[in-house]
Amino acid sequence: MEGDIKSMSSPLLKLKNFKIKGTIKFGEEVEEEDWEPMGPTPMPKVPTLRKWDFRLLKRYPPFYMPICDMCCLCTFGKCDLSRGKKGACGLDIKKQQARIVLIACCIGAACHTAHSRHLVHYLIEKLGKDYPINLGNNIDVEAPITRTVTGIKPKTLGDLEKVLDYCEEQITHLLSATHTGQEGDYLDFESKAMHAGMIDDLAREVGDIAQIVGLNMPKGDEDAPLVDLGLGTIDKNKPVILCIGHNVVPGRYIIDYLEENGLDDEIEVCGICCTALDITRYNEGAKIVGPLSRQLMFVRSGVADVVVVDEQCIRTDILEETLKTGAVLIATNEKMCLGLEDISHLSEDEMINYILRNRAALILDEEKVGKVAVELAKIISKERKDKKCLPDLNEVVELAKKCTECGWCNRVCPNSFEVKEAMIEAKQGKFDKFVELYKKCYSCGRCECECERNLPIVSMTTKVGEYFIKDMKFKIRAGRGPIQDVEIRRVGAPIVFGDIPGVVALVGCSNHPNGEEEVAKIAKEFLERKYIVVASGCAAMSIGMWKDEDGKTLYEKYGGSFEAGGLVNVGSCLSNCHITGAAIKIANIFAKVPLRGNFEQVADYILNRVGAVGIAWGAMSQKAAAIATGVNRWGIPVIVGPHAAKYRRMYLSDGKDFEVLDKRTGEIMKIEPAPEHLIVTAETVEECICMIPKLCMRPNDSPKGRAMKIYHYVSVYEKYFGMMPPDLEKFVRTEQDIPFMIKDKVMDYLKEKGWKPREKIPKEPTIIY
Amino acid sequence: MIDRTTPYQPTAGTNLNHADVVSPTILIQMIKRSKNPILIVGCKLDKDVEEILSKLNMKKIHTPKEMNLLDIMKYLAKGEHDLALFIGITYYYLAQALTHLKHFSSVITVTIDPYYHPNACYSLPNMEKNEHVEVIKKLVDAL
Ligand code: SF4
Ligand code: SF4
Ligand code: SF4
Repeated sequence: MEGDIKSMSSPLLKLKNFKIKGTIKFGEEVEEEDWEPMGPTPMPKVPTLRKWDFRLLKRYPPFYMPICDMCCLCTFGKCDLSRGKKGACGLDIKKQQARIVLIACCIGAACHTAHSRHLVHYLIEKLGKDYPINLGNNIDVEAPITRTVTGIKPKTLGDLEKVLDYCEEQITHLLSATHTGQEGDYLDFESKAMHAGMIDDLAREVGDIAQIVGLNMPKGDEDAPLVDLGLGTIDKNKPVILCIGHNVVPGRYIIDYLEENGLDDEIEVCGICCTALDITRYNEGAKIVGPLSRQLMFVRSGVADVVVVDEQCIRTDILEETLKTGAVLIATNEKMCLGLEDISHLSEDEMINYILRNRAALILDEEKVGKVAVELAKIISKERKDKKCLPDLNEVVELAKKCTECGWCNRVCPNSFEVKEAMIEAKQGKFDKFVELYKKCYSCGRCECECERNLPIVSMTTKVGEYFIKDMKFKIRAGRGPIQDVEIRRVGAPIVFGDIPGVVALVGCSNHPNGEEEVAKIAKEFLERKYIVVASGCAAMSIGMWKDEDGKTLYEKYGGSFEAGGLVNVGSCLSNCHITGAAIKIANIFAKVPLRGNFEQVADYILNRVGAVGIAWGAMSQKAAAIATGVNRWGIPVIVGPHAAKYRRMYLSDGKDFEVLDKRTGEIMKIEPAPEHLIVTAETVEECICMIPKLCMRPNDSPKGRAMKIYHYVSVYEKYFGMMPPDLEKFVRTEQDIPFMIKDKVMDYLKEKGWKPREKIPKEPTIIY
Repeated sequence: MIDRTTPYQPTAGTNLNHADVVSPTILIQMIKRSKNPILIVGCKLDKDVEEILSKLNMKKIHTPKEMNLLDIMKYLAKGEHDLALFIGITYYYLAQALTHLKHFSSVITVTIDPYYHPNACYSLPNMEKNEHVEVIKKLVDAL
């Protein structure tokens, strides 16, 4: 029996913002039932899976690109680590790179763990520890990552706490290893980074499952509703509340308050980044402005009356930018207090008055945010009715005339976009180049900071975009959460044998080299080729922000099932867990690989059989680093965009034959290098597209399946580069692998390369031996 | 006039060990002296320069079409070529990828874009387009 302390605490305690955490337990904890025999590695500690990591790292050794010659982490330093020199603590440049990668992965994992901890804590407070985890009749394997990593089959919200306890313990150990004078081997740093990545996976699963059951979000619904996306969908005549970040809880209360008071039609609630995605999973009436990349543009446009921020990926100058527009800001999360006064102890009406006077505050009681944000929006929208935030078009021309054409904006723009050229053209009252800039610019504001004339470049770009691009209304399918077990049963065999040529997962942030459209381009290419395309987070939004000639988005054209030619939006960044989860479920449901505490076997199965590849075209954050590294540990390769080279480390094989054990015959043999890399950058979207079919190849492909994959590899290469793939001979094992339709062409090519068929192909490849 | 030796994207610098600026004359001498030079040509090359370069008699790899840039770096690190020239690759991407060779190989790297590239061993300075075209012409003529 358990009781909730909070319900027993006196109003006086509450009044002083005095919170008591935790629950009282009576009696013994019940032993977990034996749902599957326990595997070898439940709750793996930092070194437990080291052997597995070393196997991967032997095949895919870390490739380092040090972003800096030095280390400056302790006061012995700065230390020069270039040209083979060591730091005062003995560290060399490889170890330093690996250490930074581990630190990034720890930051990412901590972020997701803290986010999930907050959700679980909050939901337990509201619903109790015993609230069941039930994802509906179609999902029995509710938490594949949790089952595999920890050996726990979570039945209640309370069970999720145990998983988070484990995550937090691991992160502490991992982070401590980065202290000066601890770990001293780069491969061990990498193994630890993989551990951090796996913990990140686990924490995300906990958080997403908690919010799905606790807030009744779609439970693997293939037909999740289509929701509004894009700046053009927001009705500017209504009061507008903008939520930014990743945590759905404050947004939830805003939606609830609107519904309870019949205000749904009178006030616009919209969001940027993952909070937006998760609010639409909670209520389809909410609107998504767009990905992270549009944050500053949208705030500058002044459409929002109240800006509510929670956690992660929010501009850290959001307060300053919001106040400039005359809007007010509410911070709602302890991780982002922005120097504001904590007014959580006040009544809602007192809060409203406080914010009207002070324009911003910190409210750590999300329940109160609902009323406060809505009532403020009503008042502020009247107050700001005629407020002009962006320059007029003729003012843009006048501002442009001040430009000295120094060119520094182009040089500091992360993508070297042609800002100067847009200015020069605008001086003549022409805006074509500004419109082009608008389409690609992710409003980071670096150009503005450098401009010697202090020109408000982002505001100018936003104005031009707003004025000339009328059609900014799109659709996206609300995040559906997990993949159903029955879907896995249907696609398990075709994926494992290669008849479905691959699963392409488009995930991650918006640090795109050329705007959002390229993500949609990738999705379109592979949907047409009948791959399964899965999406989450900002990438899922980017896919929605492109329309075909009929004015339809890809979400309107393709169904949401996990099947060939399906476009599956799983949800926010937390929901990425369902992508790894699907791969794990293929091992379990289709191939009966036991999950419980059985990480290595499951990952080995995925590496050798499940043709999935992750694409983080705009990977930016430390969370993305953790996600990618976690996914890598499960044996899933990842392609990242050119900016991701700044993560400093990739995992690249040398492209020569790999070695596996054929479990069927007990023989160790050479095989083709598939999948060739574990994480690799592509410079252009064309290169990325051409890499995808290749990285979907697996040693276990049947000849028919491999032929299909080779067909797509050749076909995209010819389409985008006008030639045969230059390394095709590596991936054709025997003549049976050659697709019938292009047989002559491929044979000619192979002859030229001196190709010979392989004598042996493993029946049951494994790298565990 | 643009400054010559601030990295074209200023944040690409790495605080220590920046590339030496190289003149066309020295560059030509370096190539002539090299036993096994190679030119890595990117897809962002200016059309005029591309045409001039097509006449250059030197082993070339086109990236990404023929090979991924990081795979190229891995290959170059093995040391088969004593001199590697780079042109036409996304600036920040090359800046980052070059650091692999800077730290883990003895290959002499030279960038021949019209931008100063701090992470190479040698780089042309930042320059205007027409000046760059002249440099490339000079190079092709001399070799
Ligand atoms: S941690 Fe080591 S390498 Fe870094 S500054 Fe300190 S002594 Fe130097
Ligand atoms: S705001 Fe846009 S144009 Fe300016 S630096 Fe950032 S991406 Fe480049
Ligand atoms: S930095 Fe400012 S002054 Fe210089 S070219 Fe760009 S817009 Fe003009």
